[in-house]
Amino acid sequence: MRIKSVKVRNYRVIGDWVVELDDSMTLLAGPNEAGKSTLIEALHRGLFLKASGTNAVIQKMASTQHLGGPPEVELAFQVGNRSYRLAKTFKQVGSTSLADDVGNQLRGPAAEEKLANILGVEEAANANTATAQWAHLWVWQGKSGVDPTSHATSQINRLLDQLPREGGAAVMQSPLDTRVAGEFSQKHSELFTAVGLPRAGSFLQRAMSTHEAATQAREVAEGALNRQRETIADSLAASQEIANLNGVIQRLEEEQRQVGASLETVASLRQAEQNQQAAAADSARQHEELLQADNNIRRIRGEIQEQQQLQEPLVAEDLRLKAVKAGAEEEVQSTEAAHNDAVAATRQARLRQELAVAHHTLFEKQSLRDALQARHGSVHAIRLRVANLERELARLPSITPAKLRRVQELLGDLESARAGLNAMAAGIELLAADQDVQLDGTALGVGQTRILVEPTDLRVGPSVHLRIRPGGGTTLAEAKSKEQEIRTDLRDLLDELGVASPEAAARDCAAAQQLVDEIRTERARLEGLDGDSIDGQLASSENDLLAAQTDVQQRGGLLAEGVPLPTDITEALSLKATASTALRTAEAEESRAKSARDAAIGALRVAVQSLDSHGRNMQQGDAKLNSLLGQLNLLLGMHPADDARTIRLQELRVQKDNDARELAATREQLARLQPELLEQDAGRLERSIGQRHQERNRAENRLAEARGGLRRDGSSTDPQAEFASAKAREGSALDQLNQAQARAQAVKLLHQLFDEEKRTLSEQFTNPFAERITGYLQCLFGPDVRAQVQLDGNRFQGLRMLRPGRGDAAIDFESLSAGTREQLAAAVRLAMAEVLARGHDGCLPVIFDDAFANSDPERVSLLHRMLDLAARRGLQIIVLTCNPSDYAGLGARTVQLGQRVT
Amino acid sequence: MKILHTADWQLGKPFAGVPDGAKRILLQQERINTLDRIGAVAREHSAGMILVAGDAFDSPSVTKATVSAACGAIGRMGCPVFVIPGNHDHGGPGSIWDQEFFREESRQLAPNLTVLLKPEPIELDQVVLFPCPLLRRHESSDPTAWLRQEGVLDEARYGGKPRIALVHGTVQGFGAQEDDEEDGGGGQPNLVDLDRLPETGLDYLALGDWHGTKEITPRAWYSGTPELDRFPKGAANQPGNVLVVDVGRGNQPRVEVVPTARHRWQDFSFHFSDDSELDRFDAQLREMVGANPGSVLVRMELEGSLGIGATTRLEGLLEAWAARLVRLRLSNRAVVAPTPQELDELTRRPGDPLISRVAARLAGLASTQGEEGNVARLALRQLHAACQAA
Repeated sequence: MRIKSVKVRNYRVIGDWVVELDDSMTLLAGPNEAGKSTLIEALHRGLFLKASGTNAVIQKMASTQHLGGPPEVELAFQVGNRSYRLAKTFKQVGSTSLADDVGNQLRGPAAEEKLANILGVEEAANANTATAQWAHLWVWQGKSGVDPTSHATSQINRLLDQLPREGGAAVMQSPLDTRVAGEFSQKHSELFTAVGLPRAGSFLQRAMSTHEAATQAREVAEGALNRQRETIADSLAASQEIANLNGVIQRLEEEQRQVGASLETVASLRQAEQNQQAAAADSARQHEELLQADNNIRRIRGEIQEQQQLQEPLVAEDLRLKAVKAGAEEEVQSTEAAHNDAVAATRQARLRQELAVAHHTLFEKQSLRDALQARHGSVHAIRLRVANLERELARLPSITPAKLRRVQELLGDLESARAGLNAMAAGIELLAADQDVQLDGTALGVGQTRILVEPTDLRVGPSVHLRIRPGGGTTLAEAKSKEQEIRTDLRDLLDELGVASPEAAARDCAAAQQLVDEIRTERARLEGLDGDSIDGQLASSENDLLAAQTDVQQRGGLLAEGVPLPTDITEALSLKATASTALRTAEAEESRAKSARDAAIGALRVAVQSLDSHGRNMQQGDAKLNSLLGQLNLLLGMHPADDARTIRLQELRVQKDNDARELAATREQLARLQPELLEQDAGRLERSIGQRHQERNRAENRLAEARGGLRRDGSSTDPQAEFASAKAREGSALDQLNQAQARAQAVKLLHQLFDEEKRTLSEQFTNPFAERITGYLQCLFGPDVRAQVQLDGNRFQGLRMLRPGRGDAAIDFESLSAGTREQLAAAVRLAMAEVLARGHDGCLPVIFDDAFANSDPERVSLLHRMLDLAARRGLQIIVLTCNPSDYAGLGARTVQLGQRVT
Repeated sequence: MKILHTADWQLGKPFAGVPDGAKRILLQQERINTLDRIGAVAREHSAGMILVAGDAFDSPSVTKATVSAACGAIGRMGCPVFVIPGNHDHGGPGSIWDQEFFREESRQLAPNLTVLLKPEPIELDQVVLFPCPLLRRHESSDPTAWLRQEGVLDEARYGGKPRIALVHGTVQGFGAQEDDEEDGGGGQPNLVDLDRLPETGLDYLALGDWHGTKEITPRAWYSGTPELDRFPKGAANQPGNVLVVDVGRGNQPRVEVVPTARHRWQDFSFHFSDDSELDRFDAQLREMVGANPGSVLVRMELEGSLGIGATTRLEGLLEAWAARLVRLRLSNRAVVAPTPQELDELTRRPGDPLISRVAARLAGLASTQGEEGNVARLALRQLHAACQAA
């Protein structure tokens, strides 16, 4: 079928257009909103919408700008060799006419039916279904990127009619195939979830649940059976233990009885031992006491005898010591008297010696005092001369040599100052004058000379006034002042010295110096005579002499007898030597007498001590002897007499030995019985029996508990039978499960095989289709590109594009870019149209309304190849664009729209 | 002196492997009924007493209903009954024999019953019994050991009364091998060493535990169970009897085997090599079971292979037999092997290319061994059924 021309009137923006279409390729160009899409819609309505329609539908089609009547569409088209002319007026009751070129003309429903037949569609029931017609050939604006396989599915039957012819040997699955495959697919989805797990409620899941429940029930029953068996084992073990314990307890109790009997024997032996021990102790004590007393009596008697023998020699010694003491006393008395005499003689000798010394001293003092008196007279004469010289000196002014030198210095200075002053001063001399000349107000006569030592005003007449400045500047004034100052100092110094001139000063100073020298000479003489202390020395000597005289008188009075007196110092010295010798002799004699007396006193002290010591010894011996006699008497009073005591001692010894033997026998019996071990045995056995009783109680409790657990009651079942049943049920459930699993596996296998085989079959159909698509895509993407599409039952799906070099995996339609999607979609549409065209007259129109909006200009130019290929394969291509320049290379007939055609 | 020797009554056995509840009860009830038949045999043969050599009960904790039924049946036997506990109903504290309920029921319903719980001689008027009871499931020591103690079997004792030991345990490899699906679990056998007993000390040993009737020595016999409770092991195993024994001191006992079983426990095996053998299978089974399938239990083993249709038919037959028999214990190792015709029907369908292709692949998988092959054969059956239904 080829559309030759279309005429549209009163259709929305179109008032009245006629467009002639090329058999092969037409480009409908026009700016936006020029009415391109409206024209194509009108063309589609003309083909597929019934002329009679509802108001709403007609309203949408009616022109709002051109009020010339209802929408009208007229089409001229060709099918095979036959041309048709179709005219539709859309109204509530519209009109359709279809006429061919051999004179047939149909109207109304017959025309609509014929038209639908030509187009190969069901008559559209309403506007919506009409719009969906030929959607595979009609790319509405904005729909170019939609996956076109859904359109392929809508044409499935036509495609499947045509595709085997393309592929050759392909065969199509039968309805039975479809039904059986569906049946197993259904069964599979009933059995398994999407991830392959058994589906809840399926027979497989039920078998699994049943088996699981049976396993759990078997485990519960097995547990109960095992518990019962354990309880039986427990009860057996407990009763066995009780029997064992009964035997053990019986044995232990017998042992306990034996130990008890032994312990009773031990108790009675211990009582006997206690009694015997007391008796033995008593008899031993009595024997010991008497033996002790007997021994004491014998001992004391011996001691008394011994003491008496010791006392006898002590009396003789006492007498001897007393005689020694008396002799010593006499000796002391005689030596004492001799000593006293020697002392008296020594005293007299010492007095004489001291008197002789005093006489000698007295003569010495007298001689000294006489010498001092002579020196005292010389000193007195010198002192009178010095006093006269000093009076003379005091009358002269007091000019020291230092002052005199000062006066001379000042005189020198004054001379120097006067000479300097004269050297610096200016001299003026008036030689002649006819006018009055005044110097510092003082008239200066002619020839008069003046020395100027300071600036001086000179007036000559009334009109001449001169100032003369002497040389030296200020130094002149200073020199003048200095000279004055020295003169004043000199005057002051002379006044101070009380002299009229420097020459007087020199004379007085020399006289004073001579007097001083004389005084110094006299004083040196005085000093040689010790003048200062001579008075003291003389007084002291007088006192010493007086004292010596007094001492001689006193000592002379002390002597008992008179002695010769010396007349001079030499005699005194001789007397002194004699007296000293006598004194030394007397002193030696006294020392000897003293030694003899001290020796006698020492001997007496020794004699007294010996006597005292010996006396004490004798007293101690007596006391001891008396004490022993007392003890002896006491003992003899307490105990029997000697013979009776001997017999009693013998009796007591026999008694003691007997008692000791009995006690030893009893103790040996006790030792043989080992009472400590017996007591330990008793404790141990009691403890052990107690423990065994406790163990038996526990075993009895365990037995009772086990018996209680095993006791049958009316509701109880047989655990063994229950277990056997549960096990059998589990086995049966396992069989069921195995069968169910086998059945399920079979279903799974069938489903899988049907799937695989369906795919294989579908590929036989879809391969020619995919090859067609690939042919178009190669125009755009080169020789390596491949298209894939699958047929699943009655549905096309899985449109993919494979581009080597762009990854190995085929890319889903939806994953492609927008531009590539619309290009692939166009290729699919063209391929479909090409296949479907076989069912028509070999040609179908394909309309692209702004279908490559997302393709870049370079790709659009490649699209020209694809569209051109389609046209060459017999399709009628109609492209709508607002950019006709993009399609300049397409080689299509171009119709510019927007220019009203009347 | 005639006595009746029996053992292994296994009263209270649950027969849990029998799926049908009514049939389970039938088997349980039959064990009680057997006791009445034993009583009748004793009376017919003028046996003075009945000796039960262990395992009168299947469990040491059977239900009160079982206890009451057992005591009632024993009471009806009409002669003294002596029982020792075996490994299934061992004695000891808490055991069935220790239950107050048992003692009371026994006193009221079975005054002729004596339970021998102690290993000590029981001297009766005409005979001396030497019981060797088991007090636990597994005795580590030989329960007859006490008989070897000095003086126990002294010649001079008990006058000329015949001496009979009651023993439960395994002798020379004969004993209940507890691998039966009905048993609560196996374990070590209770070993009895008869060789160590004095040659002439005992006149008869009444053995229990081995379920077939078996002469160990002329004086030592297993009576076997009086009513089968499991499929017998091997052709030599002859269960379902009691023994009537004529004993005298110093004489070799005269033993008469008297059958008492009501139910038949049969083995049946068949190998399918062709679908046509299905009819032969059915005929053979029919012939073996006989006229009263309600008293027969069959352990069936099937091997070989069958086509899909024949397999479906076989399943129908087996379903019917399972209903008729007391029990059909089936081990079906016969594989599904589609016949060439069945395979053609599935794989050669020009009109249904998908089914044909799937069937061809399944046929390939089905020819392999193992799990994959099994699943594939099952899948073929399902595909076959789906196509048949269409």
